[in-house]
Amino acid sequence: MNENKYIYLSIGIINLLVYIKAVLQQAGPILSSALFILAGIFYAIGQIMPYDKRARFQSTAINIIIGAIILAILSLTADSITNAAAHLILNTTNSSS
Amino acid sequence: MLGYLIQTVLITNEIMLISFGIINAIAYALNDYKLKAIARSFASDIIVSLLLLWLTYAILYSNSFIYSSLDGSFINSTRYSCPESVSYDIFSCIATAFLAGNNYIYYNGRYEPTLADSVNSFLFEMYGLYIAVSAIGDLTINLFVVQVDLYYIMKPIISSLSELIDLLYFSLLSIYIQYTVILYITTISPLLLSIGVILRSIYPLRAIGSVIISAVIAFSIIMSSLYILDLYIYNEQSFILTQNISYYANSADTIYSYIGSNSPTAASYLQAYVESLSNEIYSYMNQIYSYIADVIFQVFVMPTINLIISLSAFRYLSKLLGGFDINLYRLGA
Repeated sequence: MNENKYIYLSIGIINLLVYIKAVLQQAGPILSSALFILAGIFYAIGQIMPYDKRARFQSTAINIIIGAIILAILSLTADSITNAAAHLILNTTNSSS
Repeated sequence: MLGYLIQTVLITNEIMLISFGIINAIAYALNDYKLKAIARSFASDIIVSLLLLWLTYAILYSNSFIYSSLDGSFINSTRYSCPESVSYDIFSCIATAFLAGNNYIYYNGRYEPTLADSVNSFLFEMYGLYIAVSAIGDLTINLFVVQVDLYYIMKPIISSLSELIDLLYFSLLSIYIQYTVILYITTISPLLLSIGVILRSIYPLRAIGSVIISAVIAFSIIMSSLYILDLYIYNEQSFILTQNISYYANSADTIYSYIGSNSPTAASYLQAYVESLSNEIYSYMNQIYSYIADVIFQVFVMPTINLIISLSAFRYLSKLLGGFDINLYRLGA
């Protein structure tokens, strides 16, 4: 069995994944801030609408803010969450701990 | 390879976390229930892939609690006996060491030969016996007016032994095929597992990823670990014939000496001797048949049971992880 062949392929896959991750990590906060702005626009438009439509605009704005907050948190903490998961796996499987 | 697998799974998890965030944000913004369901499936996939990583690490990592719970001498002897390329994977290492390892393996307080070595030595014993019995069968005794051809007395034994030797050769081939299959699966399994995890993180290819992951778990971990069960059954058996082959070679000499003596009483002695010898060989055949049954059980029946269990596990895991429902009965149709 030529294990080197698999190792080179694995390194290639990892490099591709690292690139995709970097793109997403950059896109996440940008999208999050765009959503915050969008939520603000929706909220502002809601203010000038009659009261029945205002409620709908405001609830949409709150929904967008919730999504944006979750996206911001996950984009910024994805590394730490994964590291924590890796540490948890190591600690729970290691016999000496 | 284990390091690459862990890196791949962890990076994929990071990608899935951010993707989950993006899809979730869009789903909330559009208030789309379908997108929310996709986002939830991403969250569950992250948990599943982390659990898979935990399982793989617990099984493959050399310092894991599974290693420390097993007998140290057993583990060391299997590591020394199995090929280096699979020595990091405990179950495949035990399976390959048991089937056709390079050395003796230690279990239950003693060193035992591998299955291939046992079958091989049994084959040599059988071959020796075949030569000895054939030598007796080739004799023709001329007693005054009577000619006795011993071939007709020995014919059933000779033909049985010939067929049993063929069966043992085939058993040996089967052992090496199983050994090669396990070796190949173990070498490619980390790569296949990482490909499965990546495909599972892409929503349209989720089912294919699940099938690949379940195939790797079923054939790399479950099938290899089932060989440990075989090892403990094998522990009770050893294919050593009670009577030495040289006894039958001496018998041929004794018959020659009777023929050469030309004594008037030699004919009755020879008749009695040949009768007792053939009776003994027939009873000896019972022991051989019981050993052959053990060989068939260990080389053909137990691996078939392992394969059936692994295929069932593959099907069940595939359904559990959200893959296709693989109906094994309809595969041929």
